[in-house]
Amino acid sequence: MPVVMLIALTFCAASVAQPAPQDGGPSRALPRSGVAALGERLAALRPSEPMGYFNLAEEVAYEYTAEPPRRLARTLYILAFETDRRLRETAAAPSHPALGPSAALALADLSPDADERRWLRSLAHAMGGPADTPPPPATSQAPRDLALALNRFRAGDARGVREQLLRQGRPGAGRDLLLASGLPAADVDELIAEIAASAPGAACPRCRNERFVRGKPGDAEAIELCPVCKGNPGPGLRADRLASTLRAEGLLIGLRPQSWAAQTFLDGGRPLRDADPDDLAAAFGVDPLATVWKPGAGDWTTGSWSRPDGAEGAPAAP
Amino acid sequence: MNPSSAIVRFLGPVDVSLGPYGILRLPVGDTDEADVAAAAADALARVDAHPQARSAEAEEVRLAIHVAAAQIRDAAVRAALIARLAPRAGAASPAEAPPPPAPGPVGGAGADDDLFRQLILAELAHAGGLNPDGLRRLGALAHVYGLSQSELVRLLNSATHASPAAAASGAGQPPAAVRPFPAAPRRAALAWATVALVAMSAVMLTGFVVVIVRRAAGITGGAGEFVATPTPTPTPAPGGAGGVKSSAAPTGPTAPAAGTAAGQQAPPPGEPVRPRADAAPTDPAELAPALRRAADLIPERPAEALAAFLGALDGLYTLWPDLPPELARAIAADVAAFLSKAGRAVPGNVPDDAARAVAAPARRLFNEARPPEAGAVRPGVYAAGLVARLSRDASLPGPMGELFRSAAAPLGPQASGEIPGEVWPAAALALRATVDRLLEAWKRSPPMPTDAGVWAQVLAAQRAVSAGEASVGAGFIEACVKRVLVEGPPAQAFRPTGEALAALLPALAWREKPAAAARLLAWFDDPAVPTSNLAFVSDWIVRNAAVSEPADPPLDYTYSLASDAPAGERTRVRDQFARYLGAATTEAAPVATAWSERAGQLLAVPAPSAADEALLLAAVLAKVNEAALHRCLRDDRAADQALAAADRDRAADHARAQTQQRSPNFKPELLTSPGVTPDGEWALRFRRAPRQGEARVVLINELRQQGGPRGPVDAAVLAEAALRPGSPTVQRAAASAVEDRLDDPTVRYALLDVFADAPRTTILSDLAEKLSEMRLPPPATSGWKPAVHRAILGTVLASLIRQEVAGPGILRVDPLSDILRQAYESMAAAVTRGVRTERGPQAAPPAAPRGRLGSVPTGPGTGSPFTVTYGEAGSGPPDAAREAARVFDALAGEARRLPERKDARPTLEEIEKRRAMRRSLAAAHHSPVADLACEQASLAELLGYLAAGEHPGKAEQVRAVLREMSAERRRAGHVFLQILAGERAIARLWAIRLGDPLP
Repeated sequence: MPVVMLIALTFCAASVAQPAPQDGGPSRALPRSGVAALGERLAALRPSEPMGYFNLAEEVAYEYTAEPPRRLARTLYILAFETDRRLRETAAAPSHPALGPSAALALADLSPDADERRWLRSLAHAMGGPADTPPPPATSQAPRDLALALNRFRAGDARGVREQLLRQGRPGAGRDLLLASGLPAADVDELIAEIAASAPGAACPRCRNERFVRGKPGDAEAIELCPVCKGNPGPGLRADRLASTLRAEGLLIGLRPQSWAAQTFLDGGRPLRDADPDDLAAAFGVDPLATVWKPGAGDWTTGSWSRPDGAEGAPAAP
Repeated sequence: MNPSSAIVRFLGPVDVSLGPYGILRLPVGDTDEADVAAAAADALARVDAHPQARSAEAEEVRLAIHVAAAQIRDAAVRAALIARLAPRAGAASPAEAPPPPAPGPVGGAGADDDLFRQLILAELAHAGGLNPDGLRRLGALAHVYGLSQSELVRLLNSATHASPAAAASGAGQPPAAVRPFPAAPRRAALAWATVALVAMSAVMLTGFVVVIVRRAAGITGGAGEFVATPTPTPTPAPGGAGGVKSSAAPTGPTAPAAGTAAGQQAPPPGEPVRPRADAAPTDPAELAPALRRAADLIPERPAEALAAFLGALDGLYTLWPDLPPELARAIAADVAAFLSKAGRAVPGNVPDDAARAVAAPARRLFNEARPPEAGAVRPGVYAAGLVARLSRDASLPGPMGELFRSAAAPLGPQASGEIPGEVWPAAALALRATVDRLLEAWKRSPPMPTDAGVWAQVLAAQRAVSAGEASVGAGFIEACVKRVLVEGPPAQAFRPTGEALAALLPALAWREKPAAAARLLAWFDDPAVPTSNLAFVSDWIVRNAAVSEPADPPLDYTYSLASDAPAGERTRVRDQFARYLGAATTEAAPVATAWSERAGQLLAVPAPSAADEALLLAAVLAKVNEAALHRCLRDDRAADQALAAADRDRAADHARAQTQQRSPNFKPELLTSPGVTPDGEWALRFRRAPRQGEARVVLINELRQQGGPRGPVDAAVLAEAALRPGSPTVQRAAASAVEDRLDDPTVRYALLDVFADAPRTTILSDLAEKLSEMRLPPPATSGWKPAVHRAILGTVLASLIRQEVAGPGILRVDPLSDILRQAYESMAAAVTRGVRTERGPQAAPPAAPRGRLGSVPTGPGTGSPFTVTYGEAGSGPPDAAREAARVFDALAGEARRLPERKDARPTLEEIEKRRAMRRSLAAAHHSPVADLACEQASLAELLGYLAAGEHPGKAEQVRAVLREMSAERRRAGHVFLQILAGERAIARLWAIRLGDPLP
């Protein structure tokens, strides 16, 4: 028995010793190894070989999950697209398919922003890629269920919203739904904190959200307004918090108000992005002409991109 | 105004305080029939477009629209409305408006009691009294205006007892000011009118019989008698289009019957009868020989000489227009020779009779007792010339000379020598004097009518005299027309004015467009020419296509000026003719200049950082762009109107005025907090009341009487009663009470609170539809619950925003977005009426064009925001993006008709492809604002395509504008800044397209 316990303890210790994922993602059984000789490989890239940029981008994106490597991956994808596009405009077309759609789709996979992902997928389609079909949610009913749960939360029942936030057995699923709906991250966190701080069960412990209490069974005259909530159970939200829940609810159910004021309130005046390939580099602050890697004094993180004529790469004009 | 009243729900935000003008969205004032009809049609179209267009309420609103139109059409009612409403409508701002009337049945800012009393009286008059039909219509109108039954009864009582005099007279007839429909004529009056008509007909018939009998008896004169014969009046020319009586001068001589004196009428009173005359020559070549033969008979056979002379004279007065001027002048010498010889050699009356016969037509023409008659003009004009010539002839005996001088006196003072001594100049003078006398007759009080054919005779005389006297050439006719226009009584009231114009206008040269333009536009520009007479001219031109060549587009009714048209309308028609005739308009330069200036000013304003300020600037620029489109479609009046509205300060004031909608008693923080007394008191009584029976219904009615729920608790209990299972009677009563208070934010929130657990019922569906003005799927479908959720939540959000939960700036957003929507609505309406290019009007393209790329994706899941999300399953109120899409489609149709341009960047195909992509992206936003931003960008690219095609030298400029727009949109951190970028680009592209330099 002590041996079994010792083995179990050892196993538990080994599990605890696993490094946490850098970005909160799922923990892995094996750590990522990074890309060997990344600096040298970056310096070896040439604008005449767009696939080089694209292949390295895929490797970096796979091996790294945090910034700045992710940013490097994005830059490489964009440079793959830009160099490929220039080659096709001036010289004989390379044998491989155009890299624009693939680069855009790859960038979409890397993006944490739902809007940006939609835009990149549309951009891919605009460049001849597959038709823009937004990825289906985990369950199509999930956003609506969460919206209804928010509705009930305002009416005094927080149980449903707590359950909805934890649905699918994955912590943060509800948060993801809220983020996917377009609610800014800061507002999402505030809302979750508000919910977490509220009573876990019925808002009114006296009448259980029934509004009325009965003094004597069968005696109609004995019915009274609940002395605690005075007939109006609820979490007691301030006006701005109330508006925040309504806003989240509206975004979750895809509300499209007639009123521009209501729409602006709902989405904060979110601008519309054009599916213009010319916008891609500028959107990520990448100089499409800076295709040459200049190594720095240390590892690859000290290097920078520059133009073939030797000038330093400048971020593309917005 | 009860915001949930049917009028507002179906027609949108209308100012019901302006009565029928508010309902029809017309400016308070005199309005012509075309505008009333157009406004009524527009209002009816709004009702038809509403999701509940087939409901009974919609019918009631349609009734209200028709009643409003009828009220404005009736001149007396209109005058009364203007007197009442003009001060209220003319206020520059709500603060300056006279205080609203005492809160009437429909609220503090709504239709006042007096207006509705007028409506009641109008309806009673129309229905013929207080009968079931009238009551039914009154009930419908009351519901539409949001009146309760008790309020209607109160107003009905006060309206029917408003006029004690009318009540006392027992006439039962409402006052004229509120009688929208013409009173039915009384039967007795009709009967008397019929009797009078029959009697007059009998008298006229008798008169005709007498005349015919006398003519048939062959009235002939013996020696020494002048005969009275009907004047040979000219026959009207055929084809007088539009019923205008246009008389043409007769051509050719009128052969007199034997034994009668042609061209002669009954002698003036006091004149001796005319001696017998020989038959008049019918050949002009015979005149001179006849006169000489007559002279040869002197002195042996004086009576025969006289008869021969009189016959020749008759022929002369008939045939003189056909005589060459020299011959006419020579014949005058023959007349003088006869008179001279007779005067010397023949005793007795022969010389006098001959002289009197010469002067008689002139005397008749200038008879003081009456204006010149048609039959007297032609002989009289020549006779006056002859007489003037003879008055200077020293060879004539003294008395004869005196007679002639006396006959010539009306032409001017003898002493001053103004009377020309030659026939033709004197005849010209006589012609002018004739016109003077005709017009003088019109100036009498009352105006004296003149003969229908007299002006045709003036024309005939003018043509003849002008052959020998240039001073009465074409300019004389123009001068005559001008004098008739200025001095003549209104043509629509005084027939001779129209007859004169109808006779004279054809004599002018209308086919020579420059001359026609100069003449016509001078009349329009001359304030001395009354609109009433100008209307006759415009109507004549249109009916006779007077200025149109075969290749010209036809003149339509828009070129006809109404006789009571206001000054602006007169200018519009004037400019319309100017454009048709290729002349300058009054507004061409000012509109273009004003547009350039305004556009330049607004484009120079830096893009604001505040989103609502950006939206304000965008809204004003949208009006500028609307003006540009109207200019492109050659509608300068609409362009002017749009430009007048492109004012930042006015737009800002409008937005500010519209934001006063805060509900003072609504506190959002109470919605989820414990109730506050008295809220809940009613809820408790309701909860205690038995579920069955009438008790709960009574309580609901009591709640309605007291003005609705007092807070969230009462509202929630009421909503639960309406939506949750229970007694159907109670449910219906509760639903009605909820419907009464759909404008109350607390009630809206209560619906949101309760609906999630409510069963699928038509009650909930109806309430949600009325609340949101959206058509929802049927309750049995899977999409119904989400649709109800969206419908209710949207209105709750709107209520919260009005409480400034999201800050004060957001309150301006909706009024400003309305300006944008209206601008695009106007553009869409204009451009789909007919796209006109330099090639001429084109048929409007189909609503859903299929370009070379195939159809734009539509429908659920395909990325189109225009068929799925708005209203869930159908139409809704006008939407800026939808209207912008219509503009795009119409202009795209125009672009497709142009030759394909391979050098275009982007090409039309690329533009349409990018539009589809933008729509796909916009669909994910579920936002009407994003939809407009999407359509705007595509519209700008399309305008760039058209501008570059029309001005190839400016293609690079166009590309620069589009690049800048893309850059601004990319940089924008708020969608309103993108909207602004779009409008700025569109304005710059219009400037290129119109060729206007921006300052």
